[in-house]
Amino acid sequence: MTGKRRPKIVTVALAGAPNTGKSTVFNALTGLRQHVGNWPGKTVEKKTGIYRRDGRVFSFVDLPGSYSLTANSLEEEIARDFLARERPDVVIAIIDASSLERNLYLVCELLQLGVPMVAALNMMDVARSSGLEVDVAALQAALGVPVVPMVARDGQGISPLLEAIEAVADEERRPPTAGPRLADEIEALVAKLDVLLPAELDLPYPRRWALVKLLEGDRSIRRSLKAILAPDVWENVKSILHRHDQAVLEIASSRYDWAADTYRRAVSRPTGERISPGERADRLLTHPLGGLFAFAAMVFGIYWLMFNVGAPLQRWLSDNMVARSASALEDALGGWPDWSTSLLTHGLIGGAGLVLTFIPILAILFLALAILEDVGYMARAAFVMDRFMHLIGLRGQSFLPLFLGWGCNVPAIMGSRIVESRAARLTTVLVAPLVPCAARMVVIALFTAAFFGGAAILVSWSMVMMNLAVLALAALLISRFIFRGQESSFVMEIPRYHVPNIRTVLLATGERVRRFVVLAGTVILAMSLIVWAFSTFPSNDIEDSILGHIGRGLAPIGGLMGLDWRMMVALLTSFVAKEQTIATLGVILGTGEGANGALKTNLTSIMAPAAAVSFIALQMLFIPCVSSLAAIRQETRSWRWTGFAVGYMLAISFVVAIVIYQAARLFGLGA
Amino acid sequence: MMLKRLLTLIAANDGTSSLDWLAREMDVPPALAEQLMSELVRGGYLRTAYAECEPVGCGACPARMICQQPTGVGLWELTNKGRRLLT
Repeated sequence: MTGKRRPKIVTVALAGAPNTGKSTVFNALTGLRQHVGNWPGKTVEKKTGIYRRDGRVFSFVDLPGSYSLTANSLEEEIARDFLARERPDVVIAIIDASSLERNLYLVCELLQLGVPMVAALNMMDVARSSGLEVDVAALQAALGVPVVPMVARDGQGISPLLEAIEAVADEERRPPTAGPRLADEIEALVAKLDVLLPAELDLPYPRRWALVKLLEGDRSIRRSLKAILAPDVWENVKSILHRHDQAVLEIASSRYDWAADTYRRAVSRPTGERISPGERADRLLTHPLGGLFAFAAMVFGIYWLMFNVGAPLQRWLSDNMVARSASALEDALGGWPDWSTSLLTHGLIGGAGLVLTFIPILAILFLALAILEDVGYMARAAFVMDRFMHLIGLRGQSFLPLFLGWGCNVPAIMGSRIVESRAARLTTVLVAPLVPCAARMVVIALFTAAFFGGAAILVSWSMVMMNLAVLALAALLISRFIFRGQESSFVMEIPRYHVPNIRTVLLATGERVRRFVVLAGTVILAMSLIVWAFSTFPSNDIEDSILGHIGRGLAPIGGLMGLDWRMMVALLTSFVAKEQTIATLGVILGTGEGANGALKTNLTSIMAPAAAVSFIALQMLFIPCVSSLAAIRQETRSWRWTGFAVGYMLAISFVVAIVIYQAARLFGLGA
Repeated sequence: MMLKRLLTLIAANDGTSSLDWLAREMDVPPALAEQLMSELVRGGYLRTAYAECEPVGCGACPARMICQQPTGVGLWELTNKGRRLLT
């Protein structure tokens, strides 16, 4: 039976999920008659406002945005407690019409709470523009409460909403007529709990509602009950909850099923599938095979840019800045001792200075990565690579850290901490240094340009693919024979495509370039000076220097790959940082007139193309730099696994380099 | 039962499913699929892959100077509890 009442002050609560236009509706209802404060004892903002009509006062309370009435956050707890404890006269459920199915969950909860309600169907214009047609009458019938279509932003629907509020406020309270029925098993559990609780128990919430929430695992309700129940009663309650911890799934599912059913009744979607350009692109970019080809093509494209735009700039910088600076400095220091001139021209400019000329190539790589990240492609590449990684025994979570490795291996190793399984985490840590980092790209760029001219891009791309193949094989072997883990299932959210933000892209690129410059100006500079000292002392003859002796010790191994002792020394110093290879070669082989040309000419004079390819492979697979090793030690907390990483990479790098050298000789690249 | 169906779809794929694909299979909008995922996380049937990063925050992370968080993607993993429910 519906009766009539007429309270003079009507409390109206506005409830809704975030971004449904709740505040817009609140502002439209209250105008300037608002008060902003905090919820008692909380730092969450509380907005209240007044509206007067026919001698009555409507006191509106804008509740914090919430998706449900379970206290999962402070905001949701505040909203929930106000609705369940304060029992406002009317609750306006603000619904985003363009996202109706999602918003209906909260509406369902409000119906189950039994509050007098009006549904404000906001953003009707957005729904229409998305092709959704909402049948308001059908929705009203399904909900059993007044439904007011609105576009609050334009003030549309405010008057009908006020009329509906007044009508509901004047009605006698009655039990809800809509909403899902709980399954029989859940009803039985509620009854069981109800029997356990003393009849006279003074709960701050409606009793039945609180028991359902208890079954849903609501922490706040648990705390309240634990505090007021006798310990033995609470133990019995806990035992029931423990035995039926799947009840939450049943209860939530019943609401979602109801929401889906209500949505189907009230909304007609456009006929004919509308495929957006993004979805069209995803059909290729996230395709298991097509996506891999697209990824490979993307890498090839980046190399094309690095070689056709970055490399000429690098040559120009090397020939005009490094060589001329060295020459000018040599002239200016005419009266200084030879060793000091050599220190500055060969050690400083020829070493660290030469490394800095690679900034254009690196900047293009960083820029391309930043654009791909900002556009949303990286997530797709990660998704495609993730499928591939499952084939090679890696886990789904591993792709995120490994992708960080393209910039630098250190964050890739550190990022592996997001992988929960120890076996999968250790596998990720151990293969992360095999991701071809930007520093290795610099070395590849120098060697392929010096030895392969027009085919440089193809050789570089092939070497990266070889590197990834080795990574795959290493992961497969490690996960099969060392760390066997359980397969798992993952879900990944792929972001929408969007136009890259120039500022974000430039900031990311600038930051990475800055880090490279800092590295070149500190670690590489210091190491260049050490290399210079070792190559100069004791006799100012490099053949008889400390470096010469060390290099000749390594020469027999280098001989298997067609590499002379200077290349082995350059490789050895890459332990400090991969870019150090170039700085060391700059110091040893000199810069002189046309630094870039001189270094390249000297390189081609001491090794054949077969040895160059072999050296690139060696450099790419060689032991990680010292920073990466420190990261491996930190993440594995084991010197044993750190040693294993060094050992297996050392073995792989030499085996692959020797095989490549011997194979390249067979193809006539040995001369 | 919508949540169980979603869990079944996730478990059926020993690998990674995209949220969009799951939404299409379930015939629900992606935003609702995400809400269903949150529900499963709350129930302990799924876990978010960033769980270990969140309490630390980037400010205290040793990788903060080098980590660019490039992918910015949500990632969820099926838990043993989720697996048990389906067996």
